[in-house]
Amino acid sequence: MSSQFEERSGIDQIPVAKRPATTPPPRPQTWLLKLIMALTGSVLVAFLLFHLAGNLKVYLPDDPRLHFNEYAHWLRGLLNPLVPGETFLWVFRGTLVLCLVLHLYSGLTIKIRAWRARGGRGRAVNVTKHHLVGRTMIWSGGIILAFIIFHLLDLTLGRGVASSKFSSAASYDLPDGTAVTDAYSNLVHSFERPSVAAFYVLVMMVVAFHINHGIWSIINDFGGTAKRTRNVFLFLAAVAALIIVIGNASIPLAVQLGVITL
Amino acid sequence: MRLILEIWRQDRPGADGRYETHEVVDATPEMSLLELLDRLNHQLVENNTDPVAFESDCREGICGTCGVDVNGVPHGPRDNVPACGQHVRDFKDGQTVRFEPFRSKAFPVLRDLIVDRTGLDRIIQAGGTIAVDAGTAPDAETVQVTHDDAERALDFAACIGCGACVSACPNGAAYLFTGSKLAHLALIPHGKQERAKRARAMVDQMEHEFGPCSQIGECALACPAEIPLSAIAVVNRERIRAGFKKGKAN
Amino acid sequence: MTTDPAATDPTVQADQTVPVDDAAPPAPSTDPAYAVTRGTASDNSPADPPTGLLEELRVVGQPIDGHVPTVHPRDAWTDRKLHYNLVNPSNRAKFKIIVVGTGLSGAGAAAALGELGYDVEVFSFHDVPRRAHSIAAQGGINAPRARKVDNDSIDRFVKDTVKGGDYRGREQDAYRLGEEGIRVIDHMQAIGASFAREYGGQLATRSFGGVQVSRTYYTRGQTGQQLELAAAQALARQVAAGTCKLHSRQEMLDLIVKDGRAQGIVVRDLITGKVRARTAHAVILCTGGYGNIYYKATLAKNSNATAIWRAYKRGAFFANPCFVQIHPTALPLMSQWQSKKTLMSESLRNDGRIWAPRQRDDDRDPADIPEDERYYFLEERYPAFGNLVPRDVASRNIRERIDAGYGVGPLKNAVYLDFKTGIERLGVKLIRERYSNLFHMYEELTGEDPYTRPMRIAPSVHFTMGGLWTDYDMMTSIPGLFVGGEAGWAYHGANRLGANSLLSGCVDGWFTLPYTVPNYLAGLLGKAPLDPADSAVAQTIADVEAGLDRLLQNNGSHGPDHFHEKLGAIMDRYASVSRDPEGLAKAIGLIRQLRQEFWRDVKVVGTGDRLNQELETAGRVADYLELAELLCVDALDRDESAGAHFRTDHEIDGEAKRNDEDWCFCSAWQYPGPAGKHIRNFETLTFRAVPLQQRNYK
Repeated sequence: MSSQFEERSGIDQIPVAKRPATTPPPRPQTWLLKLIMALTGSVLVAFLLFHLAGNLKVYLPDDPRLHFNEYAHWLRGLLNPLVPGETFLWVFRGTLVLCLVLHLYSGLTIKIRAWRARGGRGRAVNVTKHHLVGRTMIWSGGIILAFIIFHLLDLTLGRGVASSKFSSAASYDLPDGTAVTDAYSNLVHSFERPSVAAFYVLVMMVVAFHINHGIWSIINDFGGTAKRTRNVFLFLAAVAALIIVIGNASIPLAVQLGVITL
Repeated sequence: MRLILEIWRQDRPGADGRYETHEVVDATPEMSLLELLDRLNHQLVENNTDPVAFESDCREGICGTCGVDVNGVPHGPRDNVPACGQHVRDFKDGQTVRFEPFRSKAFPVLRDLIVDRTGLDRIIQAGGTIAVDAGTAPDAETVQVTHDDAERALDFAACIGCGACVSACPNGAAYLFTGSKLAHLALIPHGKQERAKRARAMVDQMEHEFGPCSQIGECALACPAEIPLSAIAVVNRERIRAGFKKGKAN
Repeated sequence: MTTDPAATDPTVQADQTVPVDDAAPPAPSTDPAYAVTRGTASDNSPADPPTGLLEELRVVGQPIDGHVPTVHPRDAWTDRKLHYNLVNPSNRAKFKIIVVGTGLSGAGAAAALGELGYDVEVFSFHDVPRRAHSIAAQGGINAPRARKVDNDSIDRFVKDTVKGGDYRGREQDAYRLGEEGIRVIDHMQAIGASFAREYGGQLATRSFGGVQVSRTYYTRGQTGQQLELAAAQALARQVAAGTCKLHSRQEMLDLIVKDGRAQGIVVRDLITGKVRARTAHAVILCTGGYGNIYYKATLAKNSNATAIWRAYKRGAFFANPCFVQIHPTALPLMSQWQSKKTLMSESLRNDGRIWAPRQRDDDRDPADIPEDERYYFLEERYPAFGNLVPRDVASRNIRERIDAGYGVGPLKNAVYLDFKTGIERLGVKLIRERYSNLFHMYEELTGEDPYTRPMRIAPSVHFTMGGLWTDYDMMTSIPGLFVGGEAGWAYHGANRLGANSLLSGCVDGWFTLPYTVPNYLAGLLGKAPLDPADSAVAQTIADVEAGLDRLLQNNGSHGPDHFHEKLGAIMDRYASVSRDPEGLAKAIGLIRQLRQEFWRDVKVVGTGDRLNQELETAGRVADYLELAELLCVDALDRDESAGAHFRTDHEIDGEAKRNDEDWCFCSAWQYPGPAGKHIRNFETLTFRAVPLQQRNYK
C-alpha cells in the first residue's frame, strides 16, 4: 500500500495561526483620510450652498441683472477695506482649491485601497444590489471635477468652452457709476446654448447625488452614532441635494424657457 | 424544480479558479441553499467526482461558518438571512444560480467555496478583548448596567463573524464587523477600561488587511445578525475619541 | 492496521450469534391505549432479554475509583483544592499543555491556563475558535447565586441536578458545579457576555426547565453565543499575548500514549492533509458530544466523536454512552435533503395541543381531519399533565405514535402541534405575543403558517450525557488526559437539566481544569515533553496514516454519508427514546452488518493531500459505527430505566423505573482491543446529600 503521505519529516511543524501585525498600517490611515474627506467635503458643500444663494439673485423680480452683477462685484471686494483689493477672494479661492485637492487626494487614496482590498480575481462582475450612488462616488466626483474646469472656463475665464459673446470687460455700470463685468449677460449667453444648458442640468443632478451621499457620509466619518443625529443627517442630505439640484438646474432651464432674459 | 448551478471551483489556495456548471433536477422549494449544495455533492460523489467544498456547521444561523456568494450577493437573495436560511423557493424553475466564495483580498480561497476568514479573528486578537483574568472579576451585581445599555450592547454583540459584510462591500471593508465589537465593548462596564487602546489596536489591524469604508451600506443589508449600519460610524467615533486620549488613557 | 475488514472488525466473529433481520419495524398495536396498557403490564411480564447475548458481548470488569474526596460532598471541592499541588509561577512556562476544542470549556481552559503562564497549544478543526458548537445554545446558564428570595441555594441546585440526572452522576461534581457557577457569572460578564438586565440594572434571571426557582441567566435566545464569544475573546487575548498558540483547521485523529501517560496528539491539517504530531505534558479534550451518531440531530454538522473515540481506543474509559437526551419538539425532517433538525422551544407546548390522526397513514390535509378522528394522545393518556408531561415522556409518546404508523408529513415522521384551540381561547394577538419569534422561525424553515396550519414536530437528539469517564479531578483513566464539557460524563447523570450544559462547560474550563491540571503537572517538574522523534509518536502517526489510506483506497460505491444515514435509522429505531432488549440486540447485529458493509463498500473521492471533506466525514462515520455498538451494548447492559435511558421492560405507568440496588453506578467501558468483548468497569455512586428517591413527576 503506497502512502498518500510523502512527508514524514518535520512532524511537529504544525502551522500556528497568524497573529496581529506588529507594524503600523499604511499611512495616512483610512480613518484619518475619511475625516479629511468629511471636513473638506463640508466646506465644499457649504460653498455650494453659498454659491447657490448668489445664483438665485437671477430670480429677483426687479432688475436681476443689476442685483447679480452687484453681488459679483461685492464678492470680489469682500472684507475691503480690512484687506486690500481681491485678497479675500484669493484666500477664498485658495481654501477651496486646497479643500478640493485634499478631498480628491483622500478620495483617490481610499478608492485605490478599496480596489486593492476587493479581491476576486477571475470572478464574474457582480451586479449591484443596492446603493448605486454610494459605490460610484469616484465617478460622480470625476464628473464634478471635469465640470468645475468647464465652469471656470465658461463663466470665469471665458476661454475655450465659453460662449462667443463672453466678455470680461467692465461693461456694466452700477448705479454708483462703477463699471463692472457683466456676469449676468455672460451667464445668460452661456445658457442660451441648449447643449450647455442640458449639460449644466445633468451635472447638477450628479452633484446632487454626490452631496447626498457625501453629507450622509459626514455623520459616519465624524462617528455620529445616535439614531436621531443620523436621521437628521439623512434628512439634511436629501434636503441639501434637492436644494442644489432645483436651485441650480432651474437657471439654465429658465434661460432656455425664456423666463430669464437679458 | 430544475436549477442550473454555476459554481466556482478552485483546487488549492492561489490556484486559478474556474466556473463549473451542474444541474440539479430534483431541487425542492423547501431546500436551503446549503442543502441544494448537499444534493449536488451527493450527485457528484455517486458519479465519482470531487464534491464542491463548502463550509457550514450549525445550520441555524448562529455559528457564522457558512458563507457563499449567491448570484453575487453574500448568503443569498434575501437580506439579513444566512445561507442556511435562504431557500430554493426564492428561485424560479430553470434559473441559473451562481455560487462563489466570499469575495475579498483578505479572504483567500482555500478550496472551491471555502475562504480563510481568520483576518477577522486577528482584529479581535488585536484588541477585541477584555483584560480580566479568570477569578478576578468583581461580583456582577455590583456593576449596574441599565436595561437599555444591555439590550443595545446585545444588538451589536449579535455579530456571528461570518464575513458577509466584507464580501458585500465593494471596498472589501470590515467596518461593520469591527464597529460591532467596538460598540459592544464600549457599552459594557469592564470593556470601558481599555476603550482608547482597543480602538487604536483594532482599527490598525483592520486597516492592515481590509479595505476602507465608503458608507455604501451593502454590509448592513447582507448581515445575517442585523447589525445596524451605525456600527460603521462607531469605528470612526472610537478612533477619533482615542485620538484625543494620550498614551494608555481609556 | 491491515486492510481486511474482517480481521480488524472486533465484531465479525460474534456476528452469528446476533439476530439480524432486515430492520422491518414490528407490527405496532393499533390500540390507542397501547402504550398505557403495555406500560403497566410489561414490568410483571417475564422479561425476555437475550441474556446469553449480553454475556457474549461484554464482560464485567473492575470497580474503579473516582478519587472523590471523602468529606461531606458540600465540602469536597474546598477540601480537594487544599490538597492540590501547585506549580511555581516561574516554572509554569516549562509545561506544555494541549487543549483540543475551543468551545466554552476548551477556550476557557486554554485561556485560564494561558493566563496562569503555562505554554498552551490549542487545536481546533474550525477556522476560528468562535465557531465551536457552544455558540448555538439558546436558553441560558444556571447559577445558584440565590439573590432572590425564592429560596434557592447551592444545596437546592445540587438536589435538582442530581435528581434530574436520576442519581447517575456524582453529587460531589454537582456541588462543584453549583459553587463555581456563582463565579462563572461574574467572570463571563466581566469578559464580555452581556447578560440581560432588569430595569434596576441588576442581572435578570428566569426559571427554566421545570425548576421552581429563578436561577437561569440569559441573553435573549443567544446565551450560548454570548458566552462562547466572550470565551473565544479571552482566548484571543492569550493568543495575542503568545501564551496560547492556536492551531486552527487541525483535526485531532489520535492520542499519543507512552509509559501509560497521555503525551501528545496526532492531527491532520485539513487544508494540506499533512498528518503531524505534537507532544506535551498533558492533553485536555474539550471536543463535545456524540449526538450526531443519530445522523440528523440538532447538533452542528461537524460535531463528531472522533477525538473522544480515538482516546477511548487508546485506553480512556467511556462512561454511560447510552445516556442520550432527546428533545420532544424539534422540527422534523421534511424532505430527504433536509440537513438537520432544528430545536423549537418547549414553551410551545404550553398552548399547543399535540395530536396524530386516529387512522394510520392518513394523507389528508390536517384541516380535513374531523375532530373525532384526531387522537390527542398526551391528553388522553396523561389526563393530569396533558401536553405538559415531562420532556422524556412526551418524546416517548410522540415517537411511539410515529413508529406505529400514525406519523404525518411527507416523510410520516412527525405529529401535529396545533394552536387552533389556543388561538380560539386566547386570541391570535396573545398567541402572537408569546410565540411570534418561534412561529416566524417555523415559517422561515417550512414555508407554512402555524397560525392556520398545525406545526409538525418530532423528537430529536440534542445532548449526550455520556462521554469519557473522568475522576473527580476531570482526569480520564489515562493519566495526563483531561476532559471538559460535553465530551466528558460529569454532572448530568442520566439526564441533563436545562441550562446546566453551558454552566458545566464554563465551570470545567475556567474554574476546574486550571486547578486540577497543575496538580498533575507538578509531579512532572523537570521532565521534558515526549521527544517528537520517539517511536511512540512515529507509530501513532503511522496508525493514523494507515487509517486514512485505508479509507482513501477503499474503492466502494457509496460515499460515507450513505452509511451514516443508515446508522442513524438504526439508532433512531432501536436506541432512541425507548429501548428494549430485543431491539437493542437487533440493533447491534445491524450495526455490525453495516460496519462490514461500510468497509466493503465505502468510497472516498479525492485525495488525502488537500482539503477533502469526504475523507473527514468518512473517518467520523467509521468511528460512529464503532461507538454505536458500544452505545447499544451499554443500553442492553444497563438493565434498568434511568433518566433518558428508558427501557420498556422497566417502567411503571410509563415512568422510568430505576434499580438502585443493582445499577447505582457509572458504567465505564474499557476498550478491549480489536477482537475482545467490551469490558464494563464501574464506579459505584453513593449519595449523602441527596438521598436516593424515585423520580416522580406525577
